[in-house]
Amino acid sequence: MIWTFHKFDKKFDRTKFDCGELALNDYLRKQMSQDVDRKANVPTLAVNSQDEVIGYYTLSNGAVEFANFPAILKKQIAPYPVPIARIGRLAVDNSTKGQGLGRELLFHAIDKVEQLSKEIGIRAIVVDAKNPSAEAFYLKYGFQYLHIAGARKSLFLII
Amino acid sequence: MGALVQKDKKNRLPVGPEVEGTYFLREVDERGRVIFTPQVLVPKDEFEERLVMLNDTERDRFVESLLSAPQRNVAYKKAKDDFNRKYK
Repeated sequence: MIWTFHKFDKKFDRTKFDCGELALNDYLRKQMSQDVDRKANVPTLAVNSQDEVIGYYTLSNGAVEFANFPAILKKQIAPYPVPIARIGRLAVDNSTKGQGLGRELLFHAIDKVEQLSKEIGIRAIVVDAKNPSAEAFYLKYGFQYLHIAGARKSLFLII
Repeated sequence: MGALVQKDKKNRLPVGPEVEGTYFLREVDERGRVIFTPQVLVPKDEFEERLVMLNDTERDRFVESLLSAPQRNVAYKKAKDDFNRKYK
């Protein structure tokens, strides 16, 4: 299957998208447009030749802070929250699974963040793994564990 | 018995403390009445938290990586090369 990457646009058909995760399907159909309006994040869509959305990711900024910041660390890094880029969601339609679209979406995001990091302070990409297969996907490409809160696991990749 | 719902001065329904954002569909019914309906109840976005707070163990692991040159494994390099070859 052939796909292309685009910024969010309501002209693309989001109604048929099904990645198997209800929350991610609903996000694309119902909430993404609102988040774009509110500038909460910037989505990138993967679109097939029929202008149907078959994958997406969202990118936003954030920061990593330490509960304790020992004085000795101040000699090594600035005592401010560390700026990061966050891939909030990344999802691929079931019809395209196994074709490398998830990997291309991830590296599209990484490429974008690498470019941005030349202009503004970004030290790492942070992702949230929604399930064990997502966790394995990110670990495969060298992401490391950042923060674990219950079933939710955040991972990071230094830029 | 239905729950008692308090509307505001603009006839809007509260969406509750567990959601953020207020988005309403404005409709006029056949009797000319304006009806505001919550269009989407937007859950608080747990996946876009702006701030990640690390405990000491997590901090030490993160700082160690922060102070080192970025490490890229074989799978990363191959995927990156494939991506660049296709799109750049």
